Amino acid sequence: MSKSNIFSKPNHILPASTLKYLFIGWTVFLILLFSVSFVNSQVSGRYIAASGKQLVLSLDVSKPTPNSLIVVQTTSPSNRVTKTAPKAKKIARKSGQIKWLFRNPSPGSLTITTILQSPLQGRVSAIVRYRDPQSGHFTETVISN
Amino acid sequence: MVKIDGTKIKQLREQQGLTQLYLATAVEVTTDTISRWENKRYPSIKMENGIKLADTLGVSLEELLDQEQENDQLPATNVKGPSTEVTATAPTPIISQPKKIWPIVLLSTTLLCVLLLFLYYFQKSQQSTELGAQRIVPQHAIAGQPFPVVIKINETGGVPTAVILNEIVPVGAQISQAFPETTGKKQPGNRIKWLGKVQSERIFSYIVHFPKYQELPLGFSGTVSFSGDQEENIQGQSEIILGTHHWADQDKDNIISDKEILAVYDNYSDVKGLGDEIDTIEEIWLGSGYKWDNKSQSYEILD
Repeated sequence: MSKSNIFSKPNHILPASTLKYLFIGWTVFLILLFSVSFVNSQVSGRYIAASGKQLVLSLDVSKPTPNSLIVVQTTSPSNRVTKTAPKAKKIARKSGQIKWLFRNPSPGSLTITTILQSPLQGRVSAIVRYRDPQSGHFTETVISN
Repeated sequence: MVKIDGTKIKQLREQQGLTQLYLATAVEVTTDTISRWENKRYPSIKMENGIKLADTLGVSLEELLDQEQENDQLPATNVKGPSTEVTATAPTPIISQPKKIWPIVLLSTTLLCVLLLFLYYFQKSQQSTELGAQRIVPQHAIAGQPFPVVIKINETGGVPTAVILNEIVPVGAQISQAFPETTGKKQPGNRIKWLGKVQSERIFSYIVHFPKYQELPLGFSGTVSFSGDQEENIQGQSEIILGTHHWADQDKDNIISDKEILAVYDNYSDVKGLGDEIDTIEEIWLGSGYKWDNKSQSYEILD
C-alpha cells in the first residue's frame, strides 16, 4: 500500500458533489468574513415613521464616529414641511430636499423628525454622507422606507 | 455491462492509498460489491459504475477492463472497415477533474484569505505607529483670499516629545495667523518655526494668502525633528496653484458639494481663525454654487 499523505482521502470521504458545495459555502463564508473586516459602517439607520404628517428617521452612529455627518432627506416637492427637529440647514421646496449637518456627532442614536403640513404624499428616502474616520473615504448610506 | 479486471482495480486502489469504503461511497455501491469486483466474483459490472470507478481511480475505463474482453465490451466508434483499427471511446466522465484537487483548492483559498487578513491588519497597525509630519494644503486658491495650511505631527512613543518644525512658505506669501504661535523672533525671509511638545498627534496650522497672482505653482517645504534627532522632510501636499476657484472647491465646478464640505471639516476644522471662511463655505454649500468676482474681490453666492 502506498504511503499516505495529507491529501489522501480519509475513510469518511464525502462524495464530490458534497465537497463542491462545501467549497462554495466556505468561499462565501470567507468573502463575508473579509467584508466584515474591511467595511466598518459607522452610520446606519431606518425610518421608524414614514407615513402621515410625521416622518421619523433614526440613525445609529457607532465608534469611531465621523467628524461630520450630512443627512439629505428627499420627498415629493408637493409635501410642505412645517417643522424639523433638529433644525435643518436647508429646506429646498422645489426639489423636496432637506439638509442637516451634524458636527462631531456622539456615538449612539440620532433621531431626525420632520413634520409635514399634510400626510405624506409619495415616498421618503434619506442619504447619509460622511468620511470614514479611519480611512478618510467618502461614504454614502441610503435609507428608504 | 463491462467486464472488469478486479486485480487491476485492487492494485490501483492500493497504490493510491484508498479504501474499499472510499470507492464504495464514490461509486455509490456497498463495500461488499467493491470486494466482489476486486475478487472477480462479479466480473461484469454496469457501464455507469465502471465509468464512476474509473473516474474515482483517476484512470480511463479501458484501463480497468479485463484485457481479454476489452475489444468486445467497448462501443465501437469510427469503424471504417475490417482492416481499420477500431477506436474505442468511452463516454466522457461528467466530472473530468480529479477529486483530489478540492482539498488543495480549499486549503489554498483559506491560507490566502488568512494571509491577506494578516497583511491588512499589520498594515493598519503600522500606519497607526507612523512617525512624522504631514502637510495638508489645498490644491488651489484665489490670489488675495486666505486659505489654511495644516501640519499634522504623529508621534507614538507615548511620552511627550520635543519637536522642532521649520516651514518654508513660497515667496510672496503673507501669513495672517499661526497656531500655536511661532517661536522666537520673526524668521528671516519666508520661514516660520515652531518649537513644541507632541504626544500622539498634534496640529500646527497657519492661514496664508498671496496678495498678487503668480502663474507658476507655489511650493511649500519644511522639516521636522524629534528630540534633536535628524531632520525629516514634511510629507504631503507641497504645491498650490493660484486661480479663480475657492480653495474648498476641489473639482473646480463652482459648487461646494457634500463631499467637499466634509473634507473641509475633516481637514481644517481645527485651524484657529478660519471661522469666517468656514461660514462662507457653508453658505456656498447651501446655495447652488458661487461666482468669483475679481473686480470686487468677493464671492457671489448663487441661490
